[in-house]
Amino acid sequence: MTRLKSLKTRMLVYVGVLITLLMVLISISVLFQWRSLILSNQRQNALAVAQTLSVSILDALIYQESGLMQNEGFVENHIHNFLNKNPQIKFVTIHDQRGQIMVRSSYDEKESVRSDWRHFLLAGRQDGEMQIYHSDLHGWILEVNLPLQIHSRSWGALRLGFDIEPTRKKLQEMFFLLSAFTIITALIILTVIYFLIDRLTKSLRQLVAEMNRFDLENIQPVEIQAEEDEVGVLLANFEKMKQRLAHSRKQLIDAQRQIHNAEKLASIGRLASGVAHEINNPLQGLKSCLFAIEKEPANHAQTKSYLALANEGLDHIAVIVQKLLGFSRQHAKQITRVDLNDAIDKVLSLLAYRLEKADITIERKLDDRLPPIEADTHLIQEVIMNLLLNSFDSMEEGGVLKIATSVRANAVCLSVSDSGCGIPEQNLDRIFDPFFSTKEEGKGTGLGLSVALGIVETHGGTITAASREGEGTTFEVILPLQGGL
Amino acid sequence: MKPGRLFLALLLLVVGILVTIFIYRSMMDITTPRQALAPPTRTGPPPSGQDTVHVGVISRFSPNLLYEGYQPILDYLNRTTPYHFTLKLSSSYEQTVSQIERDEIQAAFLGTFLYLKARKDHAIQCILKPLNSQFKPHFHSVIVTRSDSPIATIADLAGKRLALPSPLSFSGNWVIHYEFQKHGLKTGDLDSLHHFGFHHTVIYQVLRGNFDAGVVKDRVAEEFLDRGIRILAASEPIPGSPIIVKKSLDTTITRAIQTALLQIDVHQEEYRDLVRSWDPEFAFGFAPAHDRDYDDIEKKIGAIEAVP
Repeated sequence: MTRLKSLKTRMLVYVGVLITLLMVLISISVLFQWRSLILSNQRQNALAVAQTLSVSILDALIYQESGLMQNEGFVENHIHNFLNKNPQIKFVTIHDQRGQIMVRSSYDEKESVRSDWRHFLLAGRQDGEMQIYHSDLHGWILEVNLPLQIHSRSWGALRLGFDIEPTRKKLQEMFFLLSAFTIITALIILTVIYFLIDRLTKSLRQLVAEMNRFDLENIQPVEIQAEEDEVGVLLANFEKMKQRLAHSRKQLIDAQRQIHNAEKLASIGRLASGVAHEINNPLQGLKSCLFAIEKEPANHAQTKSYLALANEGLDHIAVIVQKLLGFSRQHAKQITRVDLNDAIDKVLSLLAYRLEKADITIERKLDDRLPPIEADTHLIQEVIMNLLLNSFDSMEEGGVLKIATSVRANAVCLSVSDSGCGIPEQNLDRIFDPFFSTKEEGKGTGLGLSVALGIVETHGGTITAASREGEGTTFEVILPLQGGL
Repeated sequence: MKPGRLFLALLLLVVGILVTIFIYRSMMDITTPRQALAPPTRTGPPPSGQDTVHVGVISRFSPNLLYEGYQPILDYLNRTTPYHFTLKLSSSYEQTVSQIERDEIQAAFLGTFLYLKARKDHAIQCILKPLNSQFKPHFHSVIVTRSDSPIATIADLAGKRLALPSPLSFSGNWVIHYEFQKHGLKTGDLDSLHHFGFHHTVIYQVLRGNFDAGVVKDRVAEEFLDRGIRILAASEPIPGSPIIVKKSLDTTITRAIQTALLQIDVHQEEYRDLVRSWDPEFAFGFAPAHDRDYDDIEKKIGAIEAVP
């Protein structure tokens, strides 16, 4: 698992991107809402100022018209004072009913005058008209045009230009402020999310470490402090699974042991006739010796000679029984240095009668330089026995059984080939399955190869089979010098 | 980092920068387009050949208040008659009379007292008078004081400062020559007496405390009843300030004016909306007026000369 594909990274990316996008959208929305409010406020202020001025200008114009006041520059002075007290106003012009400028704040400047003044004056827009634009002369201007009018009676119009550059600077500051705020807040949120996710996934990581530490041979209780969350539930279930696995493993071992014993008993059964024959020959000799001694008890020389022969026969029987007992006895696993060639010889001796009776030719090609391996002698003999019995069963009378050993890198190799009927290709990958057998009923248990595979694997080795139907089968066992037990 | 991811990250960065620039430019572009104005359907000056009637109004209020209150009446006449009416203000009551004399105006909103004086010397006739809130063609002159003033009766005005509107206004003359006589007071009993140009100015002077009492038309006093002014005494009903025309004015114009203004019925919604912007004196409609309607009041104060 790469860091980019980890749950932590993905959660951080997804949640981070989502929150960042949301924050950006909210910030943009707030930004334009503020912009709208600021500009609206600016317009209202400008309109209020313009209306205030328009009232006094209109009064002055009416008073002048009514003869209540002499036109001695009152309006000009008023505008002059008004501009001094309102530096944000860049220019003021008063237009007569024809649109001509009557009064202007500055005579050395040429403000742009709209061409449709006549229309504006006659439109009688009591709420005035506003426009924001940029002029080379004044910069950014909010222009307010107000009619100097009472109902249908018009005296002209008032035009004011407000400096709106400070508002733009305020908007600019607001943009950068909100951008910085968004970035910093997003970073803070992402950091908080990072640590939250890290905390959440910590127990997951601990669980993974615990799973990696898990060993069927040595099951220990979980050491993680479980939280009362989903991971805690997972942890509790993992603990239960471990207990179930341990229980299953124990059952499996028991089953394997039972299979092992069953196969061994079966092998002994199949050896029984050979063993009986081996014992029967010396017993016949013993019987002959006893008959001769009984016939001529005074012939001490003959008696002595026959007793020696009887004793030799009994020794032979004892050796055979000893071998049989050695094969059949339950042993605790014991790792010793095992000579594979010697083990082959011992097994062959147990099978000698059956092989000879079936007229099977044994071809031995045992490597004398074969180093000893660290293994259980009896288990290795059992593997050899099962392989040889399997080959024996596959051959008819007059077959050839080839046994070879060789040295490999840090391992030894045992090869058993027969000239038997071979194994159909479709069965080849099933022959190591327990209870799988193609032999006639009563001839095999179907457990021999399965037991052999189990023993080889517990020694850290491998066992493979190659076969051609009608030509024979070859089993190859590789056993490491340092066993796996 | 894989090239694909690096490219995606760079692409996102570039898109982010471009979006930021776009938002910044949109934010900073505060330009609003100038609205193109269509030529108005109605023009200011009267159509050629149309008769223009100049209407005067006595300077009872400040000029801007007069325009606010009287211009809509002329706008209404302009809409409902085939004639064009324009308002012509004056700087004094006397100037309005001079305007009649010089034929600068052909009709006028006069005060009752000024009308009684003017009709003696000029060929004028009253045609309409406004209705009050009880739909009677009368008004009252009232004496006002500040709400917190200890003055309780007209007799208490002795030794006080009194503010009056124009010497040619009915209200001032009524108090000095009618009410004072009834209460045995003379102008010499007052601490001071002063005439101001407008009725509203009288109220402001009383409110400021510069004068202890003032005399105005009831319509003006009512504006300030909840703003610190109290009515001390009111006159008997006086025929409302008349709208007059010169007798030389074309009778069809006179009839057009009468017809247009007499049809106003403020019980109807459309007329209530119409008169809302008019001077409150004319907010309840008009009644026909005849010169004889003012004979009684003329007799009562006929011998009285305007206070200089």
